[in-house]
Amino acid sequence: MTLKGLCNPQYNNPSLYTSTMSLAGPSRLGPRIARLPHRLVLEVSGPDARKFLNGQSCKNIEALGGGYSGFLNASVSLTNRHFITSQGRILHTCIIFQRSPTSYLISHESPDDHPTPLQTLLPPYKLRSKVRIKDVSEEWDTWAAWGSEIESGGLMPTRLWRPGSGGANESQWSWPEGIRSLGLSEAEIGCWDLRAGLGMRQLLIPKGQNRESAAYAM
Amino acid sequence: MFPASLSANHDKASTEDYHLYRMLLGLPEGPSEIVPGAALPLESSMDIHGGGKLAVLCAS
Repeated sequence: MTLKGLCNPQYNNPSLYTSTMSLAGPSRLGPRIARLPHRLVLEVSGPDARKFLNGQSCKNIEALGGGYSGFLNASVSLTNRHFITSQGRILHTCIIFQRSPTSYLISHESPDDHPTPLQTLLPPYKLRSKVRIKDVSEEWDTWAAWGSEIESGGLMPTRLWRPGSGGANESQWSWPEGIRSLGLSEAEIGCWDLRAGLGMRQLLIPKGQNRESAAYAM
Repeated sequence: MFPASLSANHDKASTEDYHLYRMLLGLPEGPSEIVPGAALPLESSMDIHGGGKLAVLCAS
């Protein structure tokens, strides 16, 4: 038996994540959508935007058309609260959306008491990269949609567990037949949130002028 | 504004509904659950949730 098979035979079963999703009940509840007013949006654009994010975040951002990623503490440093934090700790988790190959939007949580808000964490690392970092929270609303028509077919992602360089197995999602359409209109931006399988869509919707009169206004 | 493209077949839920759903799936999120400067990637299941490659999550 191979190392991969020994370590996690069950993860090679493609039905595993679909059955997990059924337990959580999205199909029983019906499709839902909710606004996430606590999330802020940061725009990273410019010719070096992709390179910059690939270097600073934990993940190769173009592989899945964006998605869950994070920013770690790259060095021993003083935060603005004067705590010395050690390397490799999480500073932020975020969802990265690809708007174009030169423009990315990052949905993150940086409340007032956050020791390293993302909008001030990233600019010092720009150095000579041709990127522009701008807080665009005033332009976008963050939404999440879940429990949609996932089980009724369509393109499905697959998860593979591969032995990583350190010997431990590593989970990798891929879309072998292409990324499933999110069904969004032109002005809206989204990505599949594969943290728990094909369970959620994360969306950015331009803030509208007629927000108060919209049928679903908050 | 409500996302026009999904309004036809999605019901409006509250932010609390979102948090409940994500907690049922075991997804930590935000600085109150993933404490900045203290949480380690593997403790927070970043590898399992596809937050990056293990080499990056462990090596930095």
